[in-house]
Amino acid sequence: MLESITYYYEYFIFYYASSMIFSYLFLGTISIINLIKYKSYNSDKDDDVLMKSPLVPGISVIAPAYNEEKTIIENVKSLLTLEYPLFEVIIVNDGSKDKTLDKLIDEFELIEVDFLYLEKIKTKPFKRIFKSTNPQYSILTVVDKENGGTKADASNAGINASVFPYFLCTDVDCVLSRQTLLKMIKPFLNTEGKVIAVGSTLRMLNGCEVKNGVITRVKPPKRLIPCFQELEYIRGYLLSKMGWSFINSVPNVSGGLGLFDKEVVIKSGGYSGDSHAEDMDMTTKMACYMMDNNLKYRVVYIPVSCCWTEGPTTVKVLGRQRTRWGAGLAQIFKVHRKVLFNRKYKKLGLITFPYIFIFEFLAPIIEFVGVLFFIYLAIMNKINWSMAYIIMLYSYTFAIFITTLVIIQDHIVFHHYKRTREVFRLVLMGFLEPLLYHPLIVFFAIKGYFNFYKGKELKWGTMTRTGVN
Amino acid sequence: MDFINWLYSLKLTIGSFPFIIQVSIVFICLSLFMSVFLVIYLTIIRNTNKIKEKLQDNIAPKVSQLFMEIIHNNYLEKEQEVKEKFEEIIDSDHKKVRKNKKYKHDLAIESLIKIRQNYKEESDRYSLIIRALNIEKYIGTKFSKLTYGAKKKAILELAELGLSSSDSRVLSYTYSSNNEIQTEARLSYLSLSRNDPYRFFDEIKGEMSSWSQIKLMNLLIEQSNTEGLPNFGKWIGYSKNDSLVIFLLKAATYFDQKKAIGTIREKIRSDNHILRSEVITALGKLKDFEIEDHLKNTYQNESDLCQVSIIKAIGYLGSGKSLEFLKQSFYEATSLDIKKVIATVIFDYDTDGKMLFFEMKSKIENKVDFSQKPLEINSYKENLYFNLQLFKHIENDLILYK
Repeated sequence: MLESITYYYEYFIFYYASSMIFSYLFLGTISIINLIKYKSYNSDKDDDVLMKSPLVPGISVIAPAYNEEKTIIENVKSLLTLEYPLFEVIIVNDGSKDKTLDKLIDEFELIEVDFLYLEKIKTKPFKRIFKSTNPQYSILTVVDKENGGTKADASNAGINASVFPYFLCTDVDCVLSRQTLLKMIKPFLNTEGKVIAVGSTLRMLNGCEVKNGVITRVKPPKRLIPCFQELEYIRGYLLSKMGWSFINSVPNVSGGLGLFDKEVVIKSGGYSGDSHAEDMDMTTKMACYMMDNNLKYRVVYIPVSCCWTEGPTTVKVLGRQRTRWGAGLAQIFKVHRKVLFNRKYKKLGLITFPYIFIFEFLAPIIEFVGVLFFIYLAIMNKINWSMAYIIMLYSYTFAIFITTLVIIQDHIVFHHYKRTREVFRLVLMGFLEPLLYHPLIVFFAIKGYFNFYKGKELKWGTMTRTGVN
Repeated sequence: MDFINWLYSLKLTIGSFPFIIQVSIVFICLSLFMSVFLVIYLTIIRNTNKIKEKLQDNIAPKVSQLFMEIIHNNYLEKEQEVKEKFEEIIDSDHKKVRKNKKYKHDLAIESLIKIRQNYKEESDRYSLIIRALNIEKYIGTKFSKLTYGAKKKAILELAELGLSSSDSRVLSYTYSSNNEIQTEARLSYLSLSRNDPYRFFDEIKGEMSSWSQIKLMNLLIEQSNTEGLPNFGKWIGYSKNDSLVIFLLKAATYFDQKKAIGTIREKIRSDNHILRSEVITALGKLKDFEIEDHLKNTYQNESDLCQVSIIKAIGYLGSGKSLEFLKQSFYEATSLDIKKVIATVIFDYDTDGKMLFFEMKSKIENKVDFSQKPLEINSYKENLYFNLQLFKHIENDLILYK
């Protein structure tokens, strides 16, 4: 009996890993096509066209903040310097317990104003709104509200206070490229069919040089964990999301940076206040709303790196972040279980959701069980080591190939790294990642699932910051 | 011989493995080969990029300087001299640059476009450089490339360099099946052609993308500075393409084409409420006072979108005759979004409007004490609270976007 379980399990693992490899190859191929297409039809000259135009739509930049006193001033200043003819910046103070709000009031000369705040999306009670008496900051609005426990609730308050038809949702600790709005609005203007959301590539801020809220030099992070994350982000955005975007099946627009059609967001109910994967939850809700109403839509990803965010530098902080993400993913499949394998939701229900469920949600569980099984076989001395090495190399070499491929893709888009050794450092990280970083990610994901099913309360994703250069 | 034997024995060994191990070995080899290949490719593209950067940093300023001298100071007269001077600058740097024609031509094109954009005045000296460096022919070679991206870039370059002689080449792409190429070609034709450049207004089919509208509007703005624009009323009148008409309405408004009012007015009975709303806005902005009474009469029967446009149009007209209508509309409106628009228009109307605004505000203030925000939903008090909040919102100068 045990023999036959072992036999079938081994085969299952092989076919599971192989199908994952083939899916990566497929995504890799279509992402390259999409990337070349993007490069062919877009250039920096388009930014000038938009800057000169009297017809551009307005954009509200919404950045929720919770206990961000260390970085809030620099980051808000960075948001205020974005290049776009018509935009406003809305900072939502989600009941911070530190001096986030006081610092904002002092620095930007804010006073409370009578603002017509219409609660189009339900949130925790809003308290007041501040505007600056300094004309230099006239586009800044600060919303102060009771703590809602999640970024989602704060983002909803920002949407309620916004005036423009599109809004960019970002984290206040992110540093955005000045051309972010110019790059991200273009798919809304130039894509056939209705675009409801646009995402862009996020990168690690650790290691970069920043001056007055603007990135002056991009470098890969020096420490191991953020460097692994840099690789993970490039892979996730340039390979995975660009691929999904090509077949109009993007599963989520990242919470760190996403531009949305406000009307569709409001009609689909806004961010779920209790969601901890608010980005995927929002994208799914919007897609479902469109399909429920028989409306065609597109969710687009652009390969340009527009946003840099500080990544965890220690295993402890990484663990906190990934456990939350794991719990968020589990929550998604509970909340949106009706979408999974549902023909009504077309590609989302039959391709994207099943893919994420099988290859992202179940993968850590299958891997974890595999490791336990491997240990059992080792103890029982039932491992043919020479064959085992080949099987391990099978996945390992493929991981290295994919890493090298995405680094090339990144170079096709833009040469961020000045020195060749910086690029080869990333290539080298590709060799270490499967051995050092990946096991941690698997462990934290399982911990996240466990926490979710135990009903452990989840809080705002606070992250210990070390600051940047 | 030993090596061949070794290979043969390896083949036999692998052949004796189970199927999945054989598949794995093939994939390991492929992955390793591809990784090495990609690393080599990475090194090549980094080197190529370094050369381009050098070109940009060292040679581009010198090339720009040379072109500026030729264009503005009448430096050099003959094509051969221009070519020699240009080559001299290029030869002063990197070997690989010297060998690669593509780099230097692209550099010349880029420099010329920048100069042309920065110094708007026309000069026949541009053509001296273009002829000397065979630029038109070089751009022509890009059309033979397979990628649409290259063709699009070539079309754009022809337009940006103002090479009117190539308009027939651009014309052939104006019916391309590729939307990006088609749009770019039509816009370029519009800027290049001396012979009926606006003919595409007759032929635009389907929805005009916002991007096309933005580019077209920018082009019209540029042309309005150099040469006259046609009366857009002509196409507004007979075009069956609503998205084109909406764009032309925006353009007619932007360029204040009062002569188009008559034709625009005819469109006010269109079944498309988005078009109708744009017509109303245009008539308001163009100060068509005759339409004001008609707008007020139809207000109640219009869609929300058109109602907003009517209110805004009355605001743009600012005739001083519609305050009572605005006041009545405010009290009858059920949506706070429309109320906000009406109150804003009353506030900005004229002195009487401001007086009415403060009168309406103080009426609410006298009715109820608002020291506490009311909690009852949809209550009379809540309505008043939001109305008062709305008035305070509008009168506050610190709120830039109402």
